[in-house]
Amino acid sequence: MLFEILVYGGVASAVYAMLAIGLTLIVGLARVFNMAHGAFYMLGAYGVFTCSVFLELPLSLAVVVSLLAVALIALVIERVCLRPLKGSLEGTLFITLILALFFEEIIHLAFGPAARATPAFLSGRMVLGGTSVPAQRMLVVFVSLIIILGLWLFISRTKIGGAILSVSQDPEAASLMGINATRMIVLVNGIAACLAALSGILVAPFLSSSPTMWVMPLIKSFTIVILGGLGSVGGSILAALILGYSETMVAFLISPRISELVTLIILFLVIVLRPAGLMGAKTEA
Amino acid sequence: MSHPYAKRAFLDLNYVLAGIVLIILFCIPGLINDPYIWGILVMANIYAAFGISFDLLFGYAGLAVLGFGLFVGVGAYTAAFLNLYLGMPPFLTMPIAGLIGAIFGLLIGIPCLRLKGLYLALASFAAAAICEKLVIVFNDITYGREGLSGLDPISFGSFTNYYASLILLLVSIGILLIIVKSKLGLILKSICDDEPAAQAVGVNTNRYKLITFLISSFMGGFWGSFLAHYMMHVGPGVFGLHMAITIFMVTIVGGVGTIIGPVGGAYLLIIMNELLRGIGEIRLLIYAVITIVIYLLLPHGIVHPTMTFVLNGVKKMLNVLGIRGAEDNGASGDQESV
Repeated sequence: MLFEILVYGGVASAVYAMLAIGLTLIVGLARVFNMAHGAFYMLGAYGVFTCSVFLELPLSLAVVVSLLAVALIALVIERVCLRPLKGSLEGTLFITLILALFFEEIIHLAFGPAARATPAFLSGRMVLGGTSVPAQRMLVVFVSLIIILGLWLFISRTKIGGAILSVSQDPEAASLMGINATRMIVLVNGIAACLAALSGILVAPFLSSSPTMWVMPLIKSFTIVILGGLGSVGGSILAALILGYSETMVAFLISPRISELVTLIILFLVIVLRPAGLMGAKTEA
Repeated sequence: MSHPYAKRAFLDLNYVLAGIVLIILFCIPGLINDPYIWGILVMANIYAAFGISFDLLFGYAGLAVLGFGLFVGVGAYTAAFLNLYLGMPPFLTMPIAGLIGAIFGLLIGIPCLRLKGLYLALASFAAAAICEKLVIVFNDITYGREGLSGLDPISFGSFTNYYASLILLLVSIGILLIIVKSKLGLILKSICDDEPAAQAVGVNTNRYKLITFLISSFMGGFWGSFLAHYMMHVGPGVFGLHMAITIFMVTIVGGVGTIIGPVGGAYLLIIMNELLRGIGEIRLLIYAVITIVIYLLLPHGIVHPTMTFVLNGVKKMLNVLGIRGAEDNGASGDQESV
């Protein structure tokens, strides 16, 4: 039991970290609260489903195609909807929520309301310390670790990463240094959407896809972003671990029916008790 | 100035326009003898009521309460419990539902007092979603996702339902208009524009925010119970994100911070929804796109620009007819439409 909690909690945390880290970056960079983030997760899952089941592409190609498609959608949204709003909070909330509904409707029209199962990338199970875990879940942990490590290297070691950091610290000073802030925002938007889509793609085989699957991931990623502290990547990873393990513990020890309540209660309590989050500076959203 | 259309030019013509709209609304059952249409308008009235209650919080006090569905859902479930388990008639359950809604308004309002913006939106939404999940978990009294059915209807007939909703909506609009035109409305606007400044001149902003929460959640609960009795059914969806987005849409499309705006927004969206029904399931896509386009093109909502347009037209007609007095008004109207 203990080991199962350890493993499944790790899987959940890995998914949440991958889901939220892009949102954390974009919130830190542009203070844009994109409520369509959950929709990218959903579009990723359905993208692979379409490519592999209907178009019969090989799985790796299906993943690439759907990631590119989601990135394209995110960039169009950024250009057409987010940029003209210039960071207006209500406007962004409103437009991105409606966009999420829009994608829900598209999926509903195309695939119907029923849940769909995507073929697993890895079949079979792995035995870890006496518990057998489906290999697909371990793949999620593995991919998530690589992605987070890669992202960290990208931000801390490359010139573009430095530019992103400088824009998030002081956009004006960054633009005086010749950094194109808009281009950085576009780039990070694309990365955030891709990561959300990738987590959707990876969990689709064991959590079936349905048109309303975007809601809880959206809430979870915002919970992580706020719990970790706006814009703090380290805080988000810590928050993802807290969320993943507390949910898994509740699901195993009490009942899986109330595991979704955990996120919501954490979200409410964090906002009310400590809106700055675990590792964030005191800021106003 | 945050809402250019909030300040209206020639009041007299506005009252005339409002009178004409009222007469049309009261005559609709006589003009169109189709209970189906009446039903659509009842839904428009209900969403208009949600919209104006939300507008008090959002448009006046600047509190983006994304979890407004909480009050609606609490009201709806209160009505369902009282009606189904205790056998209370709708005219009793509705005020009680309003009161319970107001209690929840306080429960949410107090911890959220220092929040604004995204934090308030997410905290209130989390509260609503917690209630939704609890309703699903305690399925022995709430019947989970299926919800409770068989509530007593508001009245036994579409004709009386229509008038009940219309008259209650008018009363609600009246109450809210009195509130926003009073000192409270002014204070709320000042809190919305600059809270520290309002505090600096001695306004107890927390108190007024709580009063707003109370009024708005009372109305939300009351109309939530109206919705439950009208549909004769209540499910956990009333708490959910779709309800919240619909209320948001109604308010923003109609015009934020105007009270009258959301009424127009509700009628526009509900009627548009019905008109698009003929083209099948794709209508929701078109609906979403139209809403986004309206918002991007008319950020102040659709009602006041339309009213200004109509009134300018009327003014021009009056000028052509050579009626004195219209000219002075017209000048200010022109200025405003620039």
